[in-house]
Amino acid sequence: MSFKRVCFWVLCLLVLSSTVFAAEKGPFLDRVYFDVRMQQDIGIQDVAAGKSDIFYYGVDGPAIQGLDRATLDKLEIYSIPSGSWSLLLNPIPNEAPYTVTVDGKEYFNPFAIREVRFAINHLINRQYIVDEILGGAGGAMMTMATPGQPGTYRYNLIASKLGLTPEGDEERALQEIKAALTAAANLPALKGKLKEGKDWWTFNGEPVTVKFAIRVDDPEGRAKEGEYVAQQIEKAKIKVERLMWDRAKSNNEVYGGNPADYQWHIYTEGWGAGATRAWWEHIVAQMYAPWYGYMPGGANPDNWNYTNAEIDRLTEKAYSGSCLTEEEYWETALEALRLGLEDAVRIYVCYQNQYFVANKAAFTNRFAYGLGDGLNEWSLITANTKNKELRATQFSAQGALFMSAWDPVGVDGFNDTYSNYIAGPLTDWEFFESPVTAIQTPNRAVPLMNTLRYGAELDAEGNLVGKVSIDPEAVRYDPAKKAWVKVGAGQNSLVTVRYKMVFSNYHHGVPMELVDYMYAAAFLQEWASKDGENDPYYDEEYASKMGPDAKVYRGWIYDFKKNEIVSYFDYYFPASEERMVGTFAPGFSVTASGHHIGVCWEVVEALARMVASKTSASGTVYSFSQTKQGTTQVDVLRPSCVADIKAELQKMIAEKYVPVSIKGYITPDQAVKRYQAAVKFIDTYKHAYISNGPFYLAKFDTSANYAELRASRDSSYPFTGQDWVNKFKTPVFSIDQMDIPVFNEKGKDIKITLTVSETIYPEDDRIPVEKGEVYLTLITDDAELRFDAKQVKAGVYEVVIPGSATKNLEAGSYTILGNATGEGAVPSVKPESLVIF
Amino acid sequence: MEKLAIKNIKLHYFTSKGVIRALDGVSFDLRAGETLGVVGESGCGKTTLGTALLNMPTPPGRIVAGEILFDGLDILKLNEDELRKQIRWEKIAMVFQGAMNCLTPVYTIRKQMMETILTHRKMTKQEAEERIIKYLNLVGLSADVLRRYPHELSGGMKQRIVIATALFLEPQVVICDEPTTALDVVVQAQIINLLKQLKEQLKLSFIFITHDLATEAEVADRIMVMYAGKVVEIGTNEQIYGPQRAAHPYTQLLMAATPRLRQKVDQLAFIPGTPPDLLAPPAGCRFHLRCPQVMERCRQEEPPLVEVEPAHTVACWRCGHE
Amino acid sequence: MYWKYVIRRIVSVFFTYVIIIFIYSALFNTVMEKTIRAQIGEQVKQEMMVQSHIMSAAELKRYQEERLAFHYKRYHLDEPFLSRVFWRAISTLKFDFGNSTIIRSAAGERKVLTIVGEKIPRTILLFTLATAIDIIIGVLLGMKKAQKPGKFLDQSTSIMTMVVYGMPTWWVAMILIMLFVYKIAIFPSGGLHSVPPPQGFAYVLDLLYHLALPLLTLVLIGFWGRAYLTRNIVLSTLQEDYIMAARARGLSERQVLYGHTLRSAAPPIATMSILSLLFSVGGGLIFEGIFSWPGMGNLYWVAIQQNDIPVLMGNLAVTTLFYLSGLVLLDLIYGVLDPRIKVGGKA
Repeated sequence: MSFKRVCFWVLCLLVLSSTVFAAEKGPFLDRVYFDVRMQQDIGIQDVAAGKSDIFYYGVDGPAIQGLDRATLDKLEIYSIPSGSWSLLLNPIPNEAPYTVTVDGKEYFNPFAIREVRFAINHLINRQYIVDEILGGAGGAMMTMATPGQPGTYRYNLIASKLGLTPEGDEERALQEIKAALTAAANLPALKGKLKEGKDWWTFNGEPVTVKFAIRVDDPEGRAKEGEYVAQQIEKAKIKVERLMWDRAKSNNEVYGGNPADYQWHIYTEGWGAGATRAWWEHIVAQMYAPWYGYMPGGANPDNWNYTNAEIDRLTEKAYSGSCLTEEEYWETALEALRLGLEDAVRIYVCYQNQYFVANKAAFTNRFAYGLGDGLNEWSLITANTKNKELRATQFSAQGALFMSAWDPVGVDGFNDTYSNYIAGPLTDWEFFESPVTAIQTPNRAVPLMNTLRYGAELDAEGNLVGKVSIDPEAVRYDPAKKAWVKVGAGQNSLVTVRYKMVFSNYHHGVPMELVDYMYAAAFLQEWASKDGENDPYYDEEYASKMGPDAKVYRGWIYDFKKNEIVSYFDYYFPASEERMVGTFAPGFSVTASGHHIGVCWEVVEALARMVASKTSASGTVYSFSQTKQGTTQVDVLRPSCVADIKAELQKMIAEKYVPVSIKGYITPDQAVKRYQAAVKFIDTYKHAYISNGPFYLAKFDTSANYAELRASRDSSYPFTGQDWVNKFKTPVFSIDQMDIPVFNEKGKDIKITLTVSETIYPEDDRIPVEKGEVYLTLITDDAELRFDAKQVKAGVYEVVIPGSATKNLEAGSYTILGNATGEGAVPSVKPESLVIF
Repeated sequence: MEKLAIKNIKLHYFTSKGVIRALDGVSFDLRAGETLGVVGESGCGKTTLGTALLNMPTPPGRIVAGEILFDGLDILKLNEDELRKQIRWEKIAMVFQGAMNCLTPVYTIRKQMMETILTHRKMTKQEAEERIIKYLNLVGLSADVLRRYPHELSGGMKQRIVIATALFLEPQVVICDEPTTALDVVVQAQIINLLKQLKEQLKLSFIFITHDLATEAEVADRIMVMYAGKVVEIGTNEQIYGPQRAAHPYTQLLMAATPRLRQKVDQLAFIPGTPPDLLAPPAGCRFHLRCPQVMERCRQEEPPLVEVEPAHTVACWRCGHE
Repeated sequence: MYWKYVIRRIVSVFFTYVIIIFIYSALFNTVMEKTIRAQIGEQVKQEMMVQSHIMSAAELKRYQEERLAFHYKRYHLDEPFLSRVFWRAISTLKFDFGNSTIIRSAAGERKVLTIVGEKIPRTILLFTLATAIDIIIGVLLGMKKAQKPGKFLDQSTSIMTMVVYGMPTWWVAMILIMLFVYKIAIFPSGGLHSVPPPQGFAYVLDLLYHLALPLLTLVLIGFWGRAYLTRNIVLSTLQEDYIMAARARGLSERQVLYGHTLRSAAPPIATMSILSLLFSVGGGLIFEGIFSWPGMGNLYWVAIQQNDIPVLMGNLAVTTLFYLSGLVLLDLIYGVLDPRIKVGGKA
């Protein structure tokens, strides 16, 4: 063999091997199997025994605590703060002389006094509740912002600054309550009526009593919590009448009833887990602002309502994004929370942990999970097992995995957790909220930040008006004319930015293109607006939900050469540019459900044709709604609907049909090719969920309750599993301990040692912090003083409060905050007390 | 040779309370073609004797000693299978108190009779049915009782069916256990006549067990009197019922206790006391506690059966012992 | 004559059925209304929380009203009470169960008939089959016990019966699962099929493989009581004179025991058996949950949780129908079982 020949073959070998060894696109896993169990304990045992790899359900503390050592050793546990408890107080009449007349009889409501309400914060020992009632499976919570969730520490700082601590301060609370009641007793209107007795405060001779609605249908949890709090309240000589109510009665009386009926004074609330959130201003509104309807009275004009005009004003402002700058946003939101905390009508108590278990031996790493909500699609994308297969067991009381319709358009589609767990990994959206920071992160639409421009001013009525002028050549879809029209001159929007699109092939092999985004934008406008009485391209629920969204988009420029899109839109959030460009980034999915799903437009158009024409191959009349009379909800999994979709696609092939919204941007032949690819997919996989995500649904069996996902190894897929892992790696700091001297003289230096560790999300091994910014904040009446700490060794920092700072302070207990932050890290703030005399 | 020779049969019931010695050494024989009547009070062991002869003691009973020789063959030595196939119903059959509960209520008469025949004989359904009908006619019934259930028939009809069933395999010995007790007088007479007729026709040997002395007098050739599990007297009809008084005091008292048609009585005679408890029977003669002629010896020794005249045996210290 | 009785019986059962269905309808529509409203209120609050990302205050209010109206409509709470009770009952009687409120069948259909119809074969495959096996084993064992009463077999099995009787089925199930699924891995931990389910004939075998442990559990617990009952019934029958007479007639022990004795003891045993078989269609709520074997029991519970009245009515209509048919069936064949009983009243 000649030398050239040898070289040639060696070259070939090299090239071949390089393709083999080049990083495989798509997730680590090849296959994911979903099945279901109806019994929580069996699900956990299955995972421990290796029969399953993940139990896709957050089990509570007692379930984990009940396991024996041998089982626990086999499990990898992901602990997430989930639900929370709070106390809702009835503050009627919320003003002196704090009395209410019901059925002719006069009552004194101690909770009408703000100081009494606020003192309850100190009266309860939240740490005790966590340790004793939750068995340690949770943590103390002072505000609506769950600790551990990104973006919460600033809110929780407010609570710390107000002096709230997990252990509380019973002495102080009792003193404050006594002082407040004594002051009330000295009011002219209450003179002689309100007296302090030996056991109880009395009003008109009868003990001052508050009615405590305790949730009896949560015997291990809120019933115990209620009893503890009741006992604490009684220590303040206020009698507690315990009302053991179930959910129905509580909802009716507390949320549906009129506080003036005086049926309850305090209620044990419970909240389910929310999403992983970075921005909490709307939760501030929800939990502290009367206008939202969650405060006593429910904002029902027929009831007595708790009012606070300032909180209303502030939260509405933050909520509607009418803050012009980031500072203004934070000031508004934090001030609203401070007022809400001071008014203490809703007092947060604690959050509960839920635990997701996985089989330790099966995995090579810990996978990503939402810090606020647990397992999600990122878990599957970043999971890596030794045999590249993963078995996930879901927990369903009904034993079914496909409980709601897989409707890719309507408001009610994919409305159950099981479907979401399965469908989530099948789709890639343009932006996603990072599971660890909840920051809007670009995925398929990368914003070119140098093109970002935004500006607003307030008009006469206080509404936001945009200052960014829209390119007159920009287009928007006019559903009445069924055509793209130019925006024209003289139009302004609040924001504009250019996105670079990252395409790949859909699961049926068709490449994504800009035309898909045009279709989606047009679809939104078309179906959310009613053009005339009998507009068939209109769905009420869709419009009601997406109507506001449709108005946000003002204009588009589609750059086909560079595969880039310019968007002009009205969503103003100066506090976070990521959020501003991410929330309304262009998307190919038209779903109104809010869930992370989407299918290619061929399928959507087939559905839309059937819904609009009220016909289909089988004769069924479809709609995008679950409850519309006489119609069936579309479902890309249900065999009867899939058959109709296929028939419709074949009609579209025969007609060489091109949807009117993209006519001229795609040729009939190209469209037909797409339809044919879709039909082939349906024939192969027996369903019509054709999307662009890292996995596709290969098999599903609705009677055996099983689904199989396979990795999409299409070379056009832009990311590898490692890409995701790298993207999510985030240090999460934690101040484990603060050593504070017990006696501190003013004027003398005070040395405080902080122990700081971090975990690199998603791993949970604690390592001492090497590099970080650690400092101490001392809160005095006048100011917040900052003192930087020096690193003594890895994980140990020392800070000295110089005597000069404390020289002029009054003797007493001061709140100090330990702060640990770092580059790109989730920070940690720990409040403590410092006694100075 | 006797058809049936019973030698010293002991049948005890092993209950949780103890051992009940229901038959405590019973011996007698049955000759071919004769009717042996067995009389005694309730609880004397008559029915037990009937089940013993088929080696079918009611649990918890067991035959603990003795021999039952049928044509010289000790049937107690046979196993259950051989008993079922060769003896029961083939050689020895039993006529129960038909009016009572001896027919299975959920099967038709046809089913029960066919089943019995076909268990013992290989014949076609046709042949079996013919034979059944033949015997039904013999006992004076028509073929349409076959399709009835037992509860649909009167006492007399049931009794006839029981008799027919007992006979259709043509056994040699038929044990009749109180066959007429539950029937009214008219039917009773009919059945008695029937039995007599059949005995002649089919050349059978009967053991006729009853407590009704009058009936016994009608049918029996020889009579055996039992008391408390023991045989006290065996004699011919004449010897027992005849004008010459029977030998055993018990038999005498029994006779005296039976109301006669033409005698006027102020007070019916009765035998004072009750039969002894067979768990712990009295020592000596079992009757001694009630015997008007009791002697000292009676209390201590049990009298054996001795012949006082030809074909007449008595077990009493007062009879045949000088 | 008999036919007149049959017709009368069927008619009277029909009326009973109608009344029962009306009672169900009234019951559910009353009792559940409060719960449904409360749950709707909570659910809408949760929905609002999820949507609160983007909406303004006024939009959120409007959204809340719309969602409330939507849910009320879906649960038919916007119709007047009596009409709901009445029409629900009528359509259930016509077996036009309509569509469920929320629950969907495996393939995504909302027709209640499909939903219920799916669960029935699974329930029958497990519960009715287990009951049938129980009956066979129980009756045979009971007869064996009755043959030698007080002896070893009888006493030992009676002790076992006492022990097992006190055990709750779910507890035994958990123990068996611990032993035979985790400690010694013979059986699967639940569900109808393995993941991934095999194709073709292996699919059927796989189903049977998953059926094995729950079936075993049910059978293991179930036959003791039946054996005990059978033993007592048969024992008392064995004391009867006609049994002795049958033995005297030279019938084989087999004929006597399985023919005359069993046949005579048939009425109570048949009652017990037929009722058990028909009752088994209702499934078992906790049991199904433990083995992840979704059947009629589970459907009932889920329907209550989700306040899905059409499904509840459908489920109950079917199971009640089975129960009542069982009662009628027994009435009608009792005469066949025991000829002493004059079916239809006077002879």
